[in-house]
Amino acid sequence: MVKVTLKSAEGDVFEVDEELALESLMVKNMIEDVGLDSAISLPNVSSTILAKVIEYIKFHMDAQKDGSKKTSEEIKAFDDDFVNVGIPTLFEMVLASNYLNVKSLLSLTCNTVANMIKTKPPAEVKEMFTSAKQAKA
Amino acid sequence: MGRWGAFEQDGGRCGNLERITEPSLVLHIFSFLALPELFTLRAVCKSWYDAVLAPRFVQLYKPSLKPWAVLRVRTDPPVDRELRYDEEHFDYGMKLENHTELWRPHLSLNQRSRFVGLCSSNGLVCGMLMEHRDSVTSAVGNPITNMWKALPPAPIASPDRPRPAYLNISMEAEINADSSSYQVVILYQKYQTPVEGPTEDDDDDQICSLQYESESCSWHEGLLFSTSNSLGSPLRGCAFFYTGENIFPAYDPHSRAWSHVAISPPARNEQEQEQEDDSWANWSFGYIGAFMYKGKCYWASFMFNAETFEDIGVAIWEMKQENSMWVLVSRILSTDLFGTNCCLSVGDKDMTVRLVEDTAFILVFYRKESHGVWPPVAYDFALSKWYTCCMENMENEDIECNYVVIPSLTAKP
Repeated sequence: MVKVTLKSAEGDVFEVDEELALESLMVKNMIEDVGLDSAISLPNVSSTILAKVIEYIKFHMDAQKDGSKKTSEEIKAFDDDFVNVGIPTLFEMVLASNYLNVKSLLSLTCNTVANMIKTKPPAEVKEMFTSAKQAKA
Repeated sequence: MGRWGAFEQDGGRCGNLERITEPSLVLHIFSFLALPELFTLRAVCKSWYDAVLAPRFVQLYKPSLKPWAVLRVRTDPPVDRELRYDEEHFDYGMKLENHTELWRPHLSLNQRSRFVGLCSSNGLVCGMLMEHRDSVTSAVGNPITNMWKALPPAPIASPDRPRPAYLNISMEAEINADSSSYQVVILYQKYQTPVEGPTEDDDDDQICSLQYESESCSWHEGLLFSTSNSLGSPLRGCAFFYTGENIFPAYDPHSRAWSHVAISPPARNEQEQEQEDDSWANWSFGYIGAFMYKGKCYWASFMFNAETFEDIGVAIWEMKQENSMWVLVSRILSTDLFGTNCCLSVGDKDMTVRLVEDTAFILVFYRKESHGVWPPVAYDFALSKWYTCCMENMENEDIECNYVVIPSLTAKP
């Protein structure tokens, strides 16, 4: 199995199966352009988030494989648990899945954000987005 | 370094969390929300407000949005059964999903007003009420963004006041990116005050046109219709008027000119008669309305049994320019539309036909005293298919009529 090396913003190195890496259209394009010899640098994704993205892709790839015993309920439970994180982490995952171009994760995370904001009054939504920005400082 | 290290390293240039509010991501998040939720969220900040109304958003949103919206007109019970849409209070624009009240004109006490009608074009809706005897209240609005603008009173003098059965409003809106302009047309028959005893018929009543221009914010009186000052077929314009005579006038607000065509009952040739199955035997037709589609004139008719007056179905006819004959395009039995259990009614009904993109919607509303409403019936020209628009709560007696409009996020009254 061919391995791809991904380098997070902090410089941490993640070695993953090529098949898994190709799920990110951005990485896929990078591999096509620069080949597999050198590590692919992802300066916009932190190690924590990159690990989460890899975890997500891995779970879904396994679940789709023939012989997978995962029921749709289990997959749903995984997804629900996966996005059950703090708002800053969730936003980071939105940004990372957008940057890495992982469609299914982008939909999952954006849908989660949408569900969070739709029941809130505008003032709270504003607060949610402002505090996420301030958390950075 | 911590978890925000990535962003700090990047100098906040592109890894900044503020990017969560960049348009493409906001739009992606918005695409999971329903319109009413979005319109609440517009209040969050200016960039979101703009994002919701941005043409790009409209484009993005369109696929998940049905190409048309249904407005329901709800009225209070009638007091006087003689009038067509008689009621004391009126509100229209019940949006199907959330039943928001959209526009309720201010009504002074002790003043009765009648719902006259609705018309729409390119996302805008014009509703009209007749207050008391001689004043007409109308407003133009966008039911999706819930923006409304009251129009100045239409100069219809008291003796000429349009009678409900013979008043028709139409509008034509052109929506550009920056500005929108529209015209509202009222066609009505002047009420001739009887001078020497009761007049024998209404044929002498003149058909008048009144046109509102959004650019000048004023009403203009147009020409009276007569066969001599109008072009023969083809029909053009947005406003059609039919009073039960054989002449079918149409008014074009751009050229402010009339055109007309003669209506003759569609003839059934022998071949068709042989092929006629039992359900279509003995039909007679009622007029629903005319409309233009891709430069041709069509006419929707209601088919009923000439002996029992029960519904048979609906049909669409095309005007053939060569010989001025109406040719059947398509027809469908009521039972095919509504199932075998549909109630075939003998009640009086008012029907309208509206073209929304490639689909002709036929909307029916019965007089209050008879039963309920049909769901809108639609004929898709592109697919040559008929269908009914499924709707919940059809039993609701408050609903006077269903009305199909093109939803638009950008159209401004």
